[in-house]
Amino acid sequence: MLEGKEFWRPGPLDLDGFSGSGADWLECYKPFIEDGKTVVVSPHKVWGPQTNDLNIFYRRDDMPTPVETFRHSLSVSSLQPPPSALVACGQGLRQSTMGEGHRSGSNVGTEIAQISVVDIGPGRCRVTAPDRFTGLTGTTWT
Amino acid sequence: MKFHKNDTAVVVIDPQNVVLSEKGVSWGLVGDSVKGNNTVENLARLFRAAKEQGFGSSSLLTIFTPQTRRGSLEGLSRR
Repeated sequence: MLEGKEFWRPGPLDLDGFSGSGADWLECYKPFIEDGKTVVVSPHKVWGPQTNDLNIFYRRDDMPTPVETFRHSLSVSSLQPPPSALVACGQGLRQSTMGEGHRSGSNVGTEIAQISVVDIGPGRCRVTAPDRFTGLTGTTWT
Repeated sequence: MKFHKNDTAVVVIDPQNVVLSEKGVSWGLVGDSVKGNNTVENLARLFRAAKEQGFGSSSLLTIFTPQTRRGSLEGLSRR
């Protein structure tokens, strides 16, 4: 993924060629994301939210129940207070990492559900990761 | 499982061309499952439902920059 320059930008403040690039939103999501009400958090540097400002929004907006979707590895234990519920799904490619991240959530009493209809991932990961994740969740939404 | 819109955010991570578009560099890895699971349309359904029901929505943007690569990820990948 690094060699493929996923999400690659020439610089952190350089928007040359941004529109329509790999780092840009899908066109069909722009009406939702760019509606003036949606928070776009700062770019995360690795996989989880530890290196962006997502947790600030949770705490500042008193929003302890993140409903997460699509490809993530959230360390639930880093949230104060711990969320009471977490809805999660993700890319099989990284879902093993994700599952480990959410295991900490189940350890602090967070109820976890997954939304299976947006899962993606390559080959075997696509099959095994959701199954594995299901073992950590109480609910699967399809 | 119970949750309420007053204290719930929908967090969508990386809804970006790189993974969900046929032009994205990850398409070779995930394209079959994106199409097979109807992911783009289902994620749009989730966005729409969240907005219509009044849930707060945070979209989590991932942009890797050269600085990121040199500063952290490349280092991680070497270990």
